[in-house]
Amino acid sequence: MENNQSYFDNWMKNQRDILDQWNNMSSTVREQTNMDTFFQKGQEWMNKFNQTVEDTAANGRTKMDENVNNQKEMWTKMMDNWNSWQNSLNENMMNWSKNFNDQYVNNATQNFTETAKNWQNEMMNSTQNWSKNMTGNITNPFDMPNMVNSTSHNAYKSMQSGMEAYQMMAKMWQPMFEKMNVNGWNADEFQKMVDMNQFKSYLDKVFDLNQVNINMNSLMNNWSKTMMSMNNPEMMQNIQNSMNEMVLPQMNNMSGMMQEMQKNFTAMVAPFSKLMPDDKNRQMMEKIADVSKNYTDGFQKLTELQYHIYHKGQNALDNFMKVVTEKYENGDKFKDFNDMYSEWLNQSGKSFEELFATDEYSKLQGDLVNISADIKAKNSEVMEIMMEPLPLVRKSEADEIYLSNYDLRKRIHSLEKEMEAMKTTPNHQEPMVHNPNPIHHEEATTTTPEPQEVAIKPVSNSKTAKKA
Amino acid sequence: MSENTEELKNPMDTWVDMLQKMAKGYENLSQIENVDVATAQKELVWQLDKVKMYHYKNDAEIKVKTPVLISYALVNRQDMMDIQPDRSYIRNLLNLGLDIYMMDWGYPTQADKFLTLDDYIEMYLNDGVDFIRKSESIDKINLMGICQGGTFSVIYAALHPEKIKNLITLVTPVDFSKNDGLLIRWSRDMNFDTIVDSQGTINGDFLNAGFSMLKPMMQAGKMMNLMNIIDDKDKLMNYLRMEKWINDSPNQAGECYRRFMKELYQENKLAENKLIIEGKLVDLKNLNMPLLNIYASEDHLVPPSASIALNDLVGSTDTELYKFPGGHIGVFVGGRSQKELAPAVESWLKSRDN
Repeated sequence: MENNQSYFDNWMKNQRDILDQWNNMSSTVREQTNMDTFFQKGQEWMNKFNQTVEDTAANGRTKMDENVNNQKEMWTKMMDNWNSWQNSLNENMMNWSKNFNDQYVNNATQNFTETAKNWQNEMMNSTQNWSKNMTGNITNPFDMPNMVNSTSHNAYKSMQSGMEAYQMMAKMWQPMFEKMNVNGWNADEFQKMVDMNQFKSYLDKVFDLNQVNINMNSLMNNWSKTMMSMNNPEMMQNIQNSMNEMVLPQMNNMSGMMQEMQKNFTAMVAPFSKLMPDDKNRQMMEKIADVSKNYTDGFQKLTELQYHIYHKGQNALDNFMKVVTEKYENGDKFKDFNDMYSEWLNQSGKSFEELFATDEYSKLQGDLVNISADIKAKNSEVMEIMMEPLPLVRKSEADEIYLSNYDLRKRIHSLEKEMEAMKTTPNHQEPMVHNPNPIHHEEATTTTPEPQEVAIKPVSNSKTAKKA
Repeated sequence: MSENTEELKNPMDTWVDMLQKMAKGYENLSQIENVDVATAQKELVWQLDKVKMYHYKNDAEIKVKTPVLISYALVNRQDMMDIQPDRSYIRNLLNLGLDIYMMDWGYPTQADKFLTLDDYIEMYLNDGVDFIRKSESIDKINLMGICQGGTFSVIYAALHPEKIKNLITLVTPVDFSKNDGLLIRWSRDMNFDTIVDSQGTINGDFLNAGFSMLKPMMQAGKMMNLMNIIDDKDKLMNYLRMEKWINDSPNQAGECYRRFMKELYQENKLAENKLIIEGKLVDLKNLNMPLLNIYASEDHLVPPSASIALNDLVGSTDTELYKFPGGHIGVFVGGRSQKELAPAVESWLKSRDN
């Protein structure tokens, strides 16, 4: 239907407007701001930022321990919550039934359908909240007292995720089922009844777009507020608080934490890159500016990809309506919602596979993967510079070790093969071991000679480790 | 507008039923302590770095004298071929009297990021083959390759035909020139240099995410199936074994992945006889030993066209193409496979075991 088709078109237009606003604001701020002030403030801000990183890393471990203990307490209460929720659910059902009977018997004017729908929404929201709490409690790998193996844990998580999607569809189809029982199947009417917000949420859930639906408004607002409030002395305290919150769930995932900090940092300081002195801070900011562009490109591509998925989802729904219409016209029917949901999965799966086989989708997806990889690589380079003062082995240093390790293993393997080959030659004699750097020992005496350093010859065919 | 005289069950009633099943499912899942896969008895006989080789213990009479070395893919684990005792391609082969060795490529870490395609073929696979030849005092072995492991086996057999008596390939991609199959199509638009440079070793989850996207509604469908079997402990265990295998996804060494994707998937060098390994050209015409090439007709990961082409590219005069009705995994774990596939392989090998 026209309204449903224009829903995703409007969404796409909205996303493009947000991106354009963001780009325009970046340019405007750079043109209109006093650059000397920016330079000075930027340097002060950078120094405070570095201090904040160090302080937060120190605070993070303590906070993490507190968090784990809190989780354990929540877990032990969780099953109690489940039981009490079940009891209240049963009680609600009984009360509702009683109310309904009373109303029916007393011929009340209250709209039964409306009441039932409201109650159903309340129950579904309550269940979704419980479901989220359950998922939140059992996704912490430190806290699985009742799921001793990860396979069961993952299976339950998948089941829960699938149930959430199922609930969304059930909620969407509930009004239509009511009508079906009264008036039978009517595709035109049911298409008008489709709640597009609900349908979009369902697609977001199935394709995990919730994780990648970057809140561009929020990011842009954060950036613009920070740019406009560089004179705010409490700004750093707010950043500290935000970073503490970020560290709590992600301390065991340093990479994720750094990426989050990186994202906010990119949004805040990109304009400074041309003004800083040519030192490590400036190098870092230049790289961050590159990453900012990647983010913009990535958001754009992601928006287009989402649009394709939503649009195809809409087509899939239209096709599904036709298939079901044919089914009913042939005298067939669904026995229950599960039956219909299975048919929907079958039909929509085929539709999305068609989309995925198109050149346009393949190019978009490829571009997104490439941009993501590029962001990751550039973030690594920024981390290299940021982490330099910290007592941690950096990626480039580890890569050098890995490459040496690899070359040495290859050399050892090659030597072992040569020795093996020599053993199988005719008239084999024990081979002289050729040592390019022989150690010359003194004649045996009563004292043990001091060990001498052996110079290791550099491997001539080694690959060069990529440096930051 | 059609009339429907029978009342449909309210979606909310159905949803409540599902919720109750989910609670029951939680209870059943939390009672499971261990999910066992790959339980056929085997012994570690060789190891180089993280790569191992196992020899399966076989109490049955050995009917095919020449041992078989199985080379599985680097993606996921070979446990799928022995997922559970009553759905085990390995056990079926053992019961039919085959002597089986299995390459286990291990779990590469970032320290392994520089391992190349050449290393996997000429170091690990070659040393494994030589180990069996030496320990069994034979010149040639039978080589069986699965999926990407089959591609490795084809490359190896073309480089060392003197060491391979018979070659069996299962669901093995060789010709990537057609746009059949989403993986081949999607690979054209990816920059594998950027991907490898940013990751080092390619994360198993990254690969799994790609495979999941091939059938986007499959995850939701699995939830429905799980709900239907949640009360049946045996069926639940079967489900969990498969899930364990799916989630057991090793990383891939970056340099090997780079060459495999660029030179095979994107440039199709193997099928065009342009692939170079350790300075030597891989010429498929050198593959002169008997070949049994098994493909799955409904394979969405390795399209049939990518496998079938092998028989026309090799130099062997004894080639057979075996079409198995089913999917990429079903060819090993499906019910029909238990009765058909292993006997077909045994029969083919036995007639060439002289």
